[in-house]
Amino acid sequence: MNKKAILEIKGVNKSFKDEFALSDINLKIYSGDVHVIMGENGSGKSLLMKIISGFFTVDSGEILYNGAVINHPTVNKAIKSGIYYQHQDLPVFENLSAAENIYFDYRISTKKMLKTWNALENISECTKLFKKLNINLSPIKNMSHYGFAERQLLFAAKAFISDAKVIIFDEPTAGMSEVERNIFFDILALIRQKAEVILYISHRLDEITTVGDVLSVMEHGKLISTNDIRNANKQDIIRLITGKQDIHQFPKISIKPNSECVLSVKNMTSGSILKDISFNLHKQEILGITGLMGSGRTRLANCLFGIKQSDGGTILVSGKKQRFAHPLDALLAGISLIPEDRHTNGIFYPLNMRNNMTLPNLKRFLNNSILDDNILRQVVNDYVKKLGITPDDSDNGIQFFSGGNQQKILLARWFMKRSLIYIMDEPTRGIDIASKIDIYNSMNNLIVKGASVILISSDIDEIIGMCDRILILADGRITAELLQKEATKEKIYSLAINE
Amino acid sequence: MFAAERKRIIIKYLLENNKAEVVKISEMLNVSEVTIRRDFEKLENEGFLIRTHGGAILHDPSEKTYTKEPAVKAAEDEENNEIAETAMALVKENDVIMITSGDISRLLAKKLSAKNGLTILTNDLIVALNASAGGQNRVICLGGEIDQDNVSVTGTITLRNMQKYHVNRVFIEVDGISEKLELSVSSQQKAELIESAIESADHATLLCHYTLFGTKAFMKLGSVTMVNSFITNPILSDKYKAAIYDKNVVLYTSINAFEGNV
Repeated sequence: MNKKAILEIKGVNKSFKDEFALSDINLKIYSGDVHVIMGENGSGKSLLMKIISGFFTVDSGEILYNGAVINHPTVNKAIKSGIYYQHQDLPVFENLSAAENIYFDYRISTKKMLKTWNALENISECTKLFKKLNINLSPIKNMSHYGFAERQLLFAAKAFISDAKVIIFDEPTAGMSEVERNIFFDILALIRQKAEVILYISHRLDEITTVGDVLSVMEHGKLISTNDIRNANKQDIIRLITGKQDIHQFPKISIKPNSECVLSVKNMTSGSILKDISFNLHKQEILGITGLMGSGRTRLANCLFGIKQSDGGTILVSGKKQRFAHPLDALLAGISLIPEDRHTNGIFYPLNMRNNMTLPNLKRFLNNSILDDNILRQVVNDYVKKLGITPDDSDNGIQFFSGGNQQKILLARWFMKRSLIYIMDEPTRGIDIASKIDIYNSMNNLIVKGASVILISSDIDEIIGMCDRILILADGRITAELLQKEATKEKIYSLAINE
Repeated sequence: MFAAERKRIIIKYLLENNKAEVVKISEMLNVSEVTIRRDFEKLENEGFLIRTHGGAILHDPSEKTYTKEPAVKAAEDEENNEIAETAMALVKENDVIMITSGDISRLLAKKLSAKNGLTILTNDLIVALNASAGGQNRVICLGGEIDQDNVSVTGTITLRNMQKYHVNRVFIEVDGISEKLELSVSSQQKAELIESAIESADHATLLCHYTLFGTKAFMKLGSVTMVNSFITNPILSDKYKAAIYDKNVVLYTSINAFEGNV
C-alpha cells in the first residue's frame, strides 16, 4: 500500500534556556493512521505537539504539511490550515455555556453581514450534535459546572465539528471513567472517518492497542522508536516502551538496611483517589514511589504533608501517631516536602535567593528576638558552597537562577530545616544533568546523615537507580513492592499499568 | 551563662573531641545557635579553631606542613575530608578493598579504622598504619622498594605482589585531569601501579579534589572511562559534571549540606 505522508517532521530541535529540549526529531505521519505517542512525563511529547500546532517555533529543522514547509506558523495559521490541538489542560471560557465554548470558533450568525451570535440556533445545533455523539450533557450549562473528563468530551465534540485534517489529542482520557471513555472512543471513531490523521498522546496501554495504528516512543526529548502496532499485543508494546535500556548509572549509596521504622502509614484513604495505602519507611532508606499520571502519587505526598487531609487510616512518625491538619503539623513532626511544581508551590518569586532559602528557618537565626543577619548570611553562604549553587551571590533575585539551581535552593531551604523525613516529588523533572547529579548526591547525604527519603518520580530509570525499595501505585492502590535488585523497567511498567 | 564560661566549656569540648557541632553545643549549654556561632567566630579569630559547615574543628598548630595560606589549607582539608566521607559510605561490611597513595586516601584510611571486618590492601605505609589503627580490620601492606618522598612502596616487586590479589573495589588518586577528561600522574611507577590496581579490582573509584580538573601531570594514564566512578566536590563546574555523565562514569559529589535531624 502506498501511503501519503501528511505530516513530516525533519530534524527538529528545540530548547528552553537550559531546560529540557527536543533533539533531532524525525517522524513521518501517514494518512489514515491513528499515531500514538508515548513516553514518560517530561519526555517532550506535548512540546512536539505544540510545535506542530504553532504554539512554539522550532530552533532548527522543518515541519512539512502536505509536502509544504510550515515552519513558524501562528496558532491561528495552524488552525486555518486544518490542525486541531486538544490541550491536556483545556483553555475553556468558564463563564460561557458548553454550546458557546464548542461553537466559539465556528459561530452561527443571525445575519451574514453583522455576524451576531445566534444563540438559539447555536443551542439547537449543539443539542443535535450531542445526540449524534451520544454526549449526555446540557449544552446551556456553564463550563464551570463541568469537570476535567466532561470538558475533554465537550472538546472532542469541538474537534468533531472543526473539520480539521490533523487532530491532536493530549491525554484526553486521563481522568475519565469507563463510561466516559467509551463515549470518547465512539466520537474518536467518527472523527477518524473525517480527519486524515489523528495524533494521540496516552499513558494507557489498553487504549493504545484498541485505537492505535502506529506507536512512537519518546524519551528525554528524543524519539526512540516508531513501530506499526496493528497486530501487536500488550506484551509487545511493553517491550517497545521499555525497549531501550538506559545505560547511565546513578550515584547510589546504600546504607545497610535498618529495621527502625521512621514512618508507618496504615490503611490511608483520601477521597476517591487513594485507597487503602499501607507502607513503612525505614531509617536511612530511599523509598521510591512510582505510577502513571493520575495514579495518586502527588495526592499521597500531599496527604503525608498535611496539604490534603486523609479521610481514614493512621500515620505514625517514629512510632508516634500523628494527624496532619496543616503542613505545619507535618513540619513539626519532622517531615519536609519538596513539591512537584516548584514554580507555584515552592518559590517566592519576589524574594531574593537568601530569603527564599531561609524563610521557614528564621527561628534559627533569632538572637534575643532580633534576626541576626550576619549569621544568616554566613549559613546561607555555607549552603550555597556545599550544594554548588551558581551564581553564588545570595542577593540575586530567585528568577535569575536556572531551573536546576532553583531546585537546589529549595533543597537547601528544607535541608536547613533539619527534618527526619524528606518527601521529594519529581525533584529532577526538567532540569539540567549537572543539577540532577547534585540532587541525587544530596539524597545520599541525607541518608548517610540519618534521614530518610521518599522519592516520587515518573522517571523509572531514576527510581531504579536511586531507590532501595520501590512501591508501585496504580489507580490509588499500592499494587506491588520491589527491591532495587529485582526491579526492571519492564516489570515496573507492567505493574503500573495493572491490567 | 557568661561568655567566658561558655568559651571555657567549648575549648574543653574541642580539646576532647577535636570537633564540635553548633547544634550539639547549643543544646548542651541551652543557648541559641546564633550565640554559639558567635563564640566560634571569636575563637576562630583567636586561631583556636576553624569553622566548618554546622560546626568547628580544632585548629592544630602542630601541622606545620602547609605552605599555603592557612585559610585555603583549611578549606582544602575540609573538602578532602568530605570526599573521604563519601568514599567511606561506599565501603560495605566485609569488603576487600585496595587503597593507593594520596592525601585523600590517607584520610579515608583513618576513617576506615573505625569500621570492622574489612580487608584493606595498600602500597602506602601511612594508609597501612591509619587503616590498622583500630585493630578491627585486616590490613595487608604490599612489598617493594621504599619511596621516601611518598612514604610508600613501588617498583616491579610491588606490581608482582599486587597481581596475586583480587579486590572488590580500589580507590585511586591521580595528579591531573585534563579538559578532555584524560587522567595523568607524576611518574611512570605510579602509572603502572594504578593500571595494575584497576585490573585487579571489580570496581575502581577515583578520588579527586575539584581543583585537579583542567590540570595535566607528566605521565598520561588514559581516559576517565578506565574508572567506574568518581568522587569529587560538588563545587565542580556543571560543564565537567555533564561531561563525566556523558562518558557514563558514575559521579558522586561529596555533598555535605545536611546537618542532621534535630
